[in-house]
Amino acid sequence: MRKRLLNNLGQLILNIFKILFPVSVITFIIYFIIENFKVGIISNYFDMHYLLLIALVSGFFLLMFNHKKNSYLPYKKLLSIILTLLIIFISFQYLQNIEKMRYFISLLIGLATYIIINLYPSKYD
Amino acid sequence: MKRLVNNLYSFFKIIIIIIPFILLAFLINKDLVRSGTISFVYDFSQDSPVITNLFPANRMSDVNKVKDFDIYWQSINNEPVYFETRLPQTFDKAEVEVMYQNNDLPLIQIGLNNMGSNEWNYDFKPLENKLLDNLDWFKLESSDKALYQRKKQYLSIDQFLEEKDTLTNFAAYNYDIDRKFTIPNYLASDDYKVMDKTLRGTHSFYTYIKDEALDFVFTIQDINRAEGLDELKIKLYNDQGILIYEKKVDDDGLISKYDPASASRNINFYFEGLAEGAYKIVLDCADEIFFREIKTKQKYLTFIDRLYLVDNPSYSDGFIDLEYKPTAIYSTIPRLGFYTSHKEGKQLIGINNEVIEIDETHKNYYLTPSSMPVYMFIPKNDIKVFGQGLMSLSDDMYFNPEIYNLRNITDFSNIDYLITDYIKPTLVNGWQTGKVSFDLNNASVINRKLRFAISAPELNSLNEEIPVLQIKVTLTKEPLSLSEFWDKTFSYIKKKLK
Repeated sequence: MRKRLLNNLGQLILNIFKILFPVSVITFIIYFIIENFKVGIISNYFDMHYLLLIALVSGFFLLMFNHKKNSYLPYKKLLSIILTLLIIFISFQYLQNIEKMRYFISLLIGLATYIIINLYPSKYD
Repeated sequence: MKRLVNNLYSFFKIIIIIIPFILLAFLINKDLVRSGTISFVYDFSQDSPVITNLFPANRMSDVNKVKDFDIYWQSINNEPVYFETRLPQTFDKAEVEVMYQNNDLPLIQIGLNNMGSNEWNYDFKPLENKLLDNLDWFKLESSDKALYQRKKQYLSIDQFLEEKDTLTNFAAYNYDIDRKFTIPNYLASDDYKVMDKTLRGTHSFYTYIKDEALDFVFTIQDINRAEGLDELKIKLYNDQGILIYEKKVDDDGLISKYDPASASRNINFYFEGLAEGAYKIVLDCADEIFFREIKTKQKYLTFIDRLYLVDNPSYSDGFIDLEYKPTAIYSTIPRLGFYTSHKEGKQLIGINNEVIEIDETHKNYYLTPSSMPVYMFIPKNDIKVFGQGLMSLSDDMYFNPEIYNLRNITDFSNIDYLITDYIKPTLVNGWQTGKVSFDLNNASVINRKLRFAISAPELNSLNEEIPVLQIKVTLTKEPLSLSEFWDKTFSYIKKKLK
């Protein structure tokens, strides 16, 4: 009974992350486009990095725990590429103090992320 | 159990999908500022998306934290410094509130960058003016204006404002009063006056015209101590600050720094048909140009902010006919500054019954005269006298056309009332809080940002600093109704799609 409860709870959380990941990524892209139309309309009042953080966390959770072969989510490689790009974008934003070096360092961080994700063994790889 | 989990999942799914839309609607509503007022605060704890950090960074200290408290502050070490604030919509007014500390600086001001031909076109207003704070008159104060009275005559500011059109004995400091300055019973003079004190470089002065032509003759010489052309532009502004005439005087033809000083030239500046009123003349040139003589028929000639006297042996290599006589100046500048570039300019200067010793070159000296007006005695010349206000080379040529638009306090001998929108800062927990309001009609908006400056004219010379705890900018406009909102939205979309 207790084991079934925990399983159901775990499945609920995983399903929530399955929705949270695409919603946060798509919301970020839409807000980004709106921000380009009128600078400040979003960023004056809301830090869009929170959306990226939600996307990253939910994406990693899905990678680590979603082992169902017939899942409708993108394949592991596509998901890992999306997460890598998000990591590169975030680190590029936060490394502004080191100016030109940030191009190199954010790419390095992205590459390390991609390798770590793909080294993690998946049951169906 | 499974049904409960499925229901919970459906519930969370709906919430997660709806939240971005609700958030977007909230953000757009906030950006529209339908209430008409929005405030942005920068407290130095972290970078703000709406108010930039103070810059340039090399004029600022590091951000400091009060130990064991979540309080941050940063010091201004050199001035001026700037900051920008985002403008989500078009606003009518901006109020800047600053929490800061000030030990000894007599004046701290905030400026808003306005549109104009110059890139640097700041409209400065006082955040703190210790000279005015020390004015020992009766004071009536409201949230946005104050009335100083020599004798208590009015019980409210509104009472004074109702009667002000009948009064001639009042002044306005940092307060918009639509009143033209005139001199009652003014009679033009037929005789020429000659000022034979040699002045160096750019100077500005006021004069007054009524039923007469503007008639000046400037005798100039170029000392040719620097490479390049040395041109002179003489500009005439009316009492609204509008440029109405400009005369360009070409260089003497000697452009090398090894060339001798030029022969003297007379430059006529004559203008007829001017309406009665005060006019400003600006002699715009480099320090290479020396004004050996100013001859005029005008009765009044009052210099603005600066007099650079050079009848001194330090210029004998360029001019052999300088008269090394002391100079007397009549001034109503509340805070006087002095500066000399040469050792020959070191001297004792008399200011009424006070004396200031200029014993170093390339250093600013300051003095607040204990009484006004001021009679200065400058024995050796070779000195730059400066400050925010007016002075003349004789008291009978002095007049003050700025009385309804004062830039600083002045001689109030003939004044019994002073109206101002300057409010003395309040002191709370060791920090001053001062506010300044600006009209945004003429503000320069670049990339949807306003730029402000914080300035304290004596900060650099006195090696002081201004710790700042918080900057708050409040923007106001007319509230937006729902119908206006839809009109604006459709016209905005149409504009973007064109």
